[in-house]
Amino acid sequence: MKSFCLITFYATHYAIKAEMILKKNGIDVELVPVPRKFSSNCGIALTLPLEKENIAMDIIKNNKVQIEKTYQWDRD
Amino acid sequence: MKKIIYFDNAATSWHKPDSVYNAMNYFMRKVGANPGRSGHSKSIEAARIVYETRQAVAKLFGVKDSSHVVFTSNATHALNIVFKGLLQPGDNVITTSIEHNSVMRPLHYLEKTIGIRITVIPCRADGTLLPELFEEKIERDTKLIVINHASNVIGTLLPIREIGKISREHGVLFLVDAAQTAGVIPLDMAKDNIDLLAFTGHKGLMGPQGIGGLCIRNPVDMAPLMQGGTGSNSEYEIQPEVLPDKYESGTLNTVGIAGLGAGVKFIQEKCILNIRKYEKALTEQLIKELSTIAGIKLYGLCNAEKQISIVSFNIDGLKPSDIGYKLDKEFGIMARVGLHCAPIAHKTIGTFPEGTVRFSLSYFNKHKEIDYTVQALKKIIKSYKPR
Repeated sequence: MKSFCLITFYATHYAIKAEMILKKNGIDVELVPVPRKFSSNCGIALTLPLEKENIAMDIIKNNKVQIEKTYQWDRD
Repeated sequence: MKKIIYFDNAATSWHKPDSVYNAMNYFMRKVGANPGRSGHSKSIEAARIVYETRQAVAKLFGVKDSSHVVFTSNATHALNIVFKGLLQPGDNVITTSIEHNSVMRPLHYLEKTIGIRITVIPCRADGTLLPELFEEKIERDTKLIVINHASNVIGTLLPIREIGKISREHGVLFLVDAAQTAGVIPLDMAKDNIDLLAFTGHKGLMGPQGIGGLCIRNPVDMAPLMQGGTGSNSEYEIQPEVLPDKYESGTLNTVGIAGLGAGVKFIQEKCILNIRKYEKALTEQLIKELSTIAGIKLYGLCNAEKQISIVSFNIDGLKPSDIGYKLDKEFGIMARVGLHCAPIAHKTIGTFPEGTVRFSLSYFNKHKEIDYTVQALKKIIKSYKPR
C-alpha cells in the first residue's frame, strides 16, 4: 500500500489545467476517477506522490488553479 | 468536379485548412470519448483537447482565464445565452440598425414576452455611425449594448473600442457579435472594452459548423439557457455555478472543438495580420474591378481598409436571385443573394426587400478568381435583354 496526495476539483476544466501545469513543472501526476470514499464535484482527480504535495500546492497557488480539496489517499 | 469559385465565406468558410479536417478525423477515429464525463484515459484525452482549444481561443481574444470561454453551437446560441440569461422586464438594450437577425429576433421576442425596451442607433447607408450616439441614448434602465463588429451585408467595421469605452464609463455591459470578424480582425476583450464576446467557429476561425462560443470577461448575473448534466456536481440536481460548466449542459460538440482548435492554431501560425492583409488585397481588387463595370451598383464604404472582405452589389434591371442563379449555373460562382438574415441592415442601406448579391472572401480565395468573376459579371450584363 502506498500513500498519495489526492486533489479534487470543481470541474474537469480545473483538473486538466492542474495536470498540465504540474507536468510542465516536472511533477509526476496522474488523473484518476475519484475514489468513492472522497466526494467531489468533478469525477476526475489528480494524484501525486505525497512527498511532492507541498511543492505542488505552491505551483497551484502561483498559477491560480482552483482546487476543491486535498486528501491523503492510501492506495492498494 | 466542375470548377467552383466559393464567394460565400460570410455564410461559412470553405475550404478549411487540412489540419482542421485531420484534427476532426483524428478525434473521431482515435479519441472519440465524451470529455470529462468518465475517468478513463480516452475521456481524459478528449478533455485535454477541449481544454487546449479553450486556451487557444482565450489567447486569441485576450481572455485571461480560459474557464471564461464557454462553448456553444454557434454565435446565435451565444447571443441567446446573454439575452435570455441577463435581461429582465424593463431593461433597455441599445443596438444598431445594421445588425443580424441573431440579435434582432431574440431582442424582439423579449420585447414582446417580458417587456424589454430596445433602442436602435441608426447607421448611415454605408454602415457607419458615431459612437457618441450611444452616450446620448444611455439611460438608467440601460443594461446592455450589443453590436456586430462588422456587418454581414456590407462588411463595414464598427468602432467597438470607442463604444465599449462609453459602455464601461456608464456601467453598461458591452456585448460584441464577432461572427464575421473572429480570426480576421484582432480582438482583445480588455483593450476593446468588451464584456461579452459571441463568436462562431465555422467562419473566420476556420472550424466546422456546429461550434461557437461566448467569452465572459467577468462573471455576471446571467442565468444559463439550459440546465442539465455537466459532468460535475453529479450528486446534486442543481446546475453548478462554476465556469464553464454553468453554461455547458449536455455533451459538447467535441469533434467540432477539435476542429476549432486546429483552425485557431492555423490562424496563430499564419498570423491574423497576414490573413487580414491578404483578404484586404482581395477586397481592394474586387471593389476596384466591380466599380468599373457599368450597371453594377456597390453598397457600403467601398474601402477595403474600413471593412472586412464582404461586398454587396446589384445589377441594374436584374434581380439578385437571377444574378445569383446565373453566377452559379453558368460560371460556378457561389454567392449569397437576398436579405442575408439581416432585414434591418438592408433597410438601412436601401435594398429592402429585394436584397443584394453578396461576395464574401476568405484567406483561401485567389486573385484570379476575382478576375474570372468580373468577366462572368460582364457576360451576364451583356446577355441581359430588357423585356
